[in-house]
Amino acid sequence: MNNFIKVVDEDGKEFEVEVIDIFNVDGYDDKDYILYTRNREIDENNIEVFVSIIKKDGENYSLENIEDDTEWETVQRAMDEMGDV
Amino acid sequence: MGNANLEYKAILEDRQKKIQRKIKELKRKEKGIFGSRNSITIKGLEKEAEEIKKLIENYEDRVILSDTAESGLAGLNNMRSKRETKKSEYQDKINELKEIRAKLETAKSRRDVDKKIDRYNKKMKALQKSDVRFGKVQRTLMYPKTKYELKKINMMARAEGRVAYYENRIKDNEELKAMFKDNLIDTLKERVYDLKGLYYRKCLARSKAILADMQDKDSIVSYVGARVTSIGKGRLYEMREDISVDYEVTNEEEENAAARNI
Repeated sequence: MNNFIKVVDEDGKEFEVEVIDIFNVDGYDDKDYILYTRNREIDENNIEVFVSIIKKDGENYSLENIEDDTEWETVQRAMDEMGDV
Repeated sequence: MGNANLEYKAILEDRQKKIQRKIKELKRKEKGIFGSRNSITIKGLEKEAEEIKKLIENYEDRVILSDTAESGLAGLNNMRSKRETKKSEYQDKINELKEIRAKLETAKSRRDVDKKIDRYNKKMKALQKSDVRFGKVQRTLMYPKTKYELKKINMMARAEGRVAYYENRIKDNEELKAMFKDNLIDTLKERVYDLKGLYYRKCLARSKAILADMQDKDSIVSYVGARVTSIGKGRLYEMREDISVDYEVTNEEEENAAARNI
């Protein structure tokens, strides 16, 4: 199974992203978060990634920004802990 | 070598026999309700027996008495030595007479020789009796200090026995604690990892279900916004591997986790 999905931006332009993980975070159990990348290297050791909230509307999905800073800090901590599982 | 040393050795051996009898008796009772108390006593007695064994092996280095007592012992040693010499002479005489008797032809002559043999036998017995009396006197002279020495050994041995007993109990308890601790921690770890593993697999299964749904040709995924960050390449690789593996949580695993009830 490949991990790529097609995403449409607000201009209707389609691009492909690779999904790295879909996860929940304690304290925000009603939300699904998606970690994905376009595989752009920031430097020789790191890759740029994106984190959005998944919202489902019927059969369609939207990837939305994490507006709350506290929520974003919690999500980042959860991502750090993911390697411990 | 003086006879006093032998009497000293005999005193120690008497004490040793008493200890062995006591140990045997206590071991028989050890399984009773006073078992643990007996065990402490047995430990002490065993230690005492060890010390007395050493004294017996080196009995010639016996406890030194006062000057008066030592000179009394020495005097008695001399007398006993002389008696030993006498006894030896009498025995030689008896053997000689027996040889003579064997060669005699008449009953009367044999009876005469028998009478002489009897006289020497009586003298021998008398010497042996006085030997025993001298031995008792020597023991009496040595006993107070020997008894004091034995008492010291007894007290030290009992204290050491208690220490040894409790050291063993502590050691046993610590081993039990460690076993229990290891078992308890291992059991807990096992359960936690089982649950963590199960939880992880469930999460992953759900993630893959959502991903599959997003990939469905009839689904539209709109990009509205995101937070941007970075991930190390190694970590990214691992996470890719994880989401690529097909984990399926079975009902049995869920039931087992529920049964462990943590």
